[in-house]
This record gives sequence, C-alpha cells and structure tokens, in this order.
Amino acid sequence: MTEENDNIDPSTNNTTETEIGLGKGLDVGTANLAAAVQNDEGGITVNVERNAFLDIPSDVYSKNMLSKLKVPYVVHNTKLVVIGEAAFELANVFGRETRRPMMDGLISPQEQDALPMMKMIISKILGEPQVQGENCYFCVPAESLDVDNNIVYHQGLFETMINSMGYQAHAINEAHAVVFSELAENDFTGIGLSFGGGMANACIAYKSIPCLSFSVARGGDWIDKNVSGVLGVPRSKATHIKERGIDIRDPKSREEEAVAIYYRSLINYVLSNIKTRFESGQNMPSFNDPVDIACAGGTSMIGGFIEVFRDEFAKIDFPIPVGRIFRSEEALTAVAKGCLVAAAIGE
Amino acid sequence: METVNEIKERLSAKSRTATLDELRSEGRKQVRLIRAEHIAAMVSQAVHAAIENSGLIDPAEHEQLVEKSREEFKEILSERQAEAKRAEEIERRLAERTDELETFRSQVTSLDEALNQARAELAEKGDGDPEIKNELELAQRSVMSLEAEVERCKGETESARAEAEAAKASVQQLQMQMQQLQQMPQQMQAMPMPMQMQQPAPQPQAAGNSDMMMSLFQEMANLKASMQAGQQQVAAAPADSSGADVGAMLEKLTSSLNDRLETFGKKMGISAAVESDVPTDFSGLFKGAEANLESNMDNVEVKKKTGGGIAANLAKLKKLKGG
Repeated sequence: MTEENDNIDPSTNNTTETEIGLGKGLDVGTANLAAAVQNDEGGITVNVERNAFLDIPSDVYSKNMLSKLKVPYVVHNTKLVVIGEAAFELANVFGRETRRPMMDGLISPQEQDALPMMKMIISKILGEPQVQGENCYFCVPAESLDVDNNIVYHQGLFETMINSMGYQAHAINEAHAVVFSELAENDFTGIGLSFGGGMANACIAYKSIPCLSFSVARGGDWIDKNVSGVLGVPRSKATHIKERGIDIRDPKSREEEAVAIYYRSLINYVLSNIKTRFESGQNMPSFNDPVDIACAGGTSMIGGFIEVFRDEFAKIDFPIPVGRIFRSEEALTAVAKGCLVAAAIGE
Repeated sequence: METVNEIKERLSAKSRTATLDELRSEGRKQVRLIRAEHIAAMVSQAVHAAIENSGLIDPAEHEQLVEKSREEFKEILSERQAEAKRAEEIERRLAERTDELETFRSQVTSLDEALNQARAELAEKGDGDPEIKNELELAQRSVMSLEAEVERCKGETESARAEAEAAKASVQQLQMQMQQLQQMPQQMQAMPMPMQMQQPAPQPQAAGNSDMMMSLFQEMANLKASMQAGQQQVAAAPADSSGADVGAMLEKLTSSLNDRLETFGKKMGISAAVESDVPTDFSGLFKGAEANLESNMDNVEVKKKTGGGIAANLAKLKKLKGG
C-alpha cells in the first residue's frame, strides 16, 4: 500500500475506478431494505425501499392505474401485490395493515409467500452485479439474548437469494457493519449499536475485530406495539406518532410521553445487557483509552435520541471508559454503508 | 260355707289393715292374732250352741247343719291349701325359671363370644366358602403385585442411587486426574531426560457462557494434545524405567481424558461432529418463484440516497491489516 492511500481524499479516487467501485452492501432490515454502492463521485448511493407489501384484487383497471402512478407491483397468484413504500400508502387508503416479510429482525415464518416479493425488491435495489461474482455483504443479526431465534436459516436463505442474482454473498453482523461505517476515526475500536425495526444489535470491536456481539428482540416495532397498547390506538398510529418529528426529551402530549417512556426503556435495556455481557465475558480486551459508542438505525432517528441515550448511560456503571456517544449522520443507511465497506475490502 | 264366708267378709269389712309401723306408732308393742277362720268357727259354735239351747232346731237338723258346716269348712280349707300349694308351686317354678333364665343368659353370652370368635376365624380362614376363598385369593394376589411394585421401585431407586454414586465417583476421578495433569509438568521436569513439551497456544475466548464452555473445551483438548506430544517424546526417548512409567501414566491419562472430553462435550452440547464445508442450499425454496412474474418494477425508480464515501474507511482498514 502506498503512502498516498494513507491520506486519501474521499472526494477523489487515487486507485482504479473498478477497484473502488466493486462490492455492494445490503442492509436486510425488518422495516427497510437498503443497498449501498460506490458511485462515480466518490461517494455512495444507497437505494432504499420499504420491506412491506400489500395484495389487492387484480383487474386491468387497477393494473393500469398502478402503472400510471408508477407504483411498483407484481402479479403473484392472480393477485396484484404492491411493493414497498407505496404499500404503506395504499394500506392507509384501504384501512388495512401491510404485510411484513420479516419479523423481529429475521425472515417471518408466517410470510413464506413473501419470499418472491423480497427477492424482487432486493433485486431492484441491488441491481445487476458489475462483474459476475461481485462481493455482496449483507447484514444479519447476532444471536439474541432474549428470544430463541434461528439465524442459520435466515442467513442461508439470503445467501442463496443473493448468489442467484450473480453475486458472491457474505454475511456480516449488523452492528459490526456500524463499526465499519462510523468508527473509522477510532481505528474501528469501540461499540457499534444498530437500532432497527425488529431488533437492536450491539458489537464491541477492537481494531475492527468483533469481541462481543449480541442482539435483543426489541426495536421500533416493540416501541410501536407497547405504545399502541398503552394508548389504545392502532400500531400504525403509534408509528405515525413516532415518525412525525417528536423530541423524546420534551414530550408534549400523553402520546409523546408514551413514546419517550418506551424509548428510554429500550435504551436502558440495551445498555444493561452490554454491561452484563461485558462483565461476564472472558478475555475481553482492556480498553485503557475511552471508546466511542456509535448509534445507527432508523429507530435512532427520533429527535433527542442521543441525549436520552447519554442520560440513560449516566445512570449505569459502565465497565469500560466511554468517550463520545454519537449517532450516525446517515443513521438509516449506516448499516448498508458498513456492509459496503466490508464488501469493498473483502472482509 | 256361705255363712263362714259371709262372716269372714263381714269381719274383713269391719276390720282394717294396718302395718306394723302404724301399730308401733299407735303405741302398740304387742298384738294378739287370731285367724278369721277361728273367729268364724267360734261364731258358728256359738250359733250352734244357741240354737241347741233354744230348742228351735231339731237336734238332727242341728247335726246336719254342723256336718254341713264341717264339710264346708273342709272344702274351704282344702281349697285354701290347694291354693297355697299352687302358690308355692308357682313360686318354685318361678324360681326355677329365674334360675334357668340366668343360666340361659350366661349361655347366650358365652355363645355370642363363641360366635364372634367363630366369625372371626371364618373371616380369616374362609373355610368351606368358595366365594370367600376366591376373594381371599384375589386379595392375596393384589398384595403380591403391590409388593412386587414396591420391590421394583426400590430397585429403581437403588439403581438411580448407584448411578449417582458412579457419577460422583467419576467426577472425583476426573478431578484427581486433572490434579495429576497439573502436576505433570513438575514431574517431567524432575526426569533425568529433559523433555520439551509444547505449551498450548493461548486461544482467544469469546464472551458468554457458551463461549466459556467452548474455551474450556478447547483448553482441555489442547492439554490432551500436549499430553499426547509428551507421550510421543517419551516413547522416542531412550529406554528408561522412569520414562516408561511416565509414558504409561501419560497414555492412561490421555485415553481417560479423551473419554471424558467426549462425554463432557456431549453434555455441554458441543459435539465432536464436524460441520460440513458445503453450505446449505435453500434454492429449492425459490422454485416456482423463478418464473418471470408480471411486474412493472423495471419502470419504477427506487428511492435513492447519497452519502459520504468510504474511501477513508477503506484506507484505515487496509492500514490496520498491514496492507
């Protein structure tokens, strides 16, 4: 490696275009699917689509209307299946709930028919491989502490799906991807947290090597479910309250108060489990210098998240010194970006 | 007869009955007693005398009257005597019956006791009653089966206890062997023939309970490998009695540790089975979905976001890896 690469300017390419451009990252999330690829401008382009679909009766009129409105659909089993964000909008119009191919961070066993839909969405956002066998790193959750889940099936399924698209699929831990994306300045040492729709993942890494990884089956959907239960409103309403731009440091209504309460509970739950796992783990690296905590994921995008996180962090006696606690500036796409880093470096 | 009875009746009518206490209370200490018959006789004699003296009744008629009176008296007397006899007889018979009654009562009591005893014996033995005999046999069989069940449970308890004891013994044996293993390096150092033993390479251990078990398992496997290496070196060393002893001990400990590792690993869920290098192929799940589905996805643009480049990240990573 040349010295020029040590001080590389992210806006320029000092290496060949194909070398930088190869590799794609895929965030297979419960709520969103995101595929990241390097672009010609030295940055990255992330294609995002909602991981949901809605089936409606098929007729020529509906099909023509959807085509005119550029609403993505697929004809499957004699039904029109609307895919992605449009499914949410149509669901609101029809007063229905969308169907979710994934649940709690993993492929949903109740939605086996959704596999073709997911494949179609992933194929759309990934695009064709630039070369046959191009590396594609996709994220998988770590083993959960609080539920018995089968990561093997989930991982194998997506490996097969992505390989069938002409890529060479590799799995990477979701929180480890956050480390790749957000802790480059710290030599990839610190704690990466991904707060997704179905799960929250944590990874403690030392110089890019994961020392501890785990997940908990609580995320944005868990908050929606509990807020819905407390307020007696549909879950879609709870999601809307959460995503309409509130600040959980200063809730203005009973609804916002409920959202803030469960956010604090989620953050405290994750931090407590990090502490417990760290204290029980053997041969953990000793961090003499404070480490940073990087948060990412769609669930962390709510207003006041990091401030509340710091509040909850101050309440517990963390076993290692912590420096900066921050949220990624691109929280929704940080995991996909981290997967892209892994794919580009060939981890 | 009628005259005497009339006299007696009149005497009775004119008399009163008094108890001895009443007479005593009246101040009478003695009383003269006379029978009513005597009085009647005296009256009759007085009447006869008066009649004879009066000359009103013919002496022959008088004699007839007297004779008639005597006969009446005799009849009355005999009747009274007969009545007395009958009373005595009745009393005697009453006494006899009373005695008999007492006798019967005692007999009944003894018979009751004998009957109860006989019933008890009959219930026990059931002699002569086939139904009772059958019931007794059934009851005996039930008791025997219950006893067999109790014995079986006792046997199972004993075998479980024996297994627990065996397990405890094997754990103790394993602990002893582990202690011997810990002392092995010191013994080896005391040998005249220096023997180099490779130290097990430090293995990184992952956090968590299962990771701890994995690391423990790995350490035991490394220790076993070291013992095998030491055993080979002993075998390659010149013949030496002490070396042979150590070698035999090593071999014994190695085989025992190997067995323990297998058992320990299975109990901890760590199998000696190796994973296949061939990844599981889930492509069959997508059969049917591979057919071209009618869709307008080609004409639809997905939402695109742009972000900062990853060149700096890549550079850092390459630097870390020494690239």
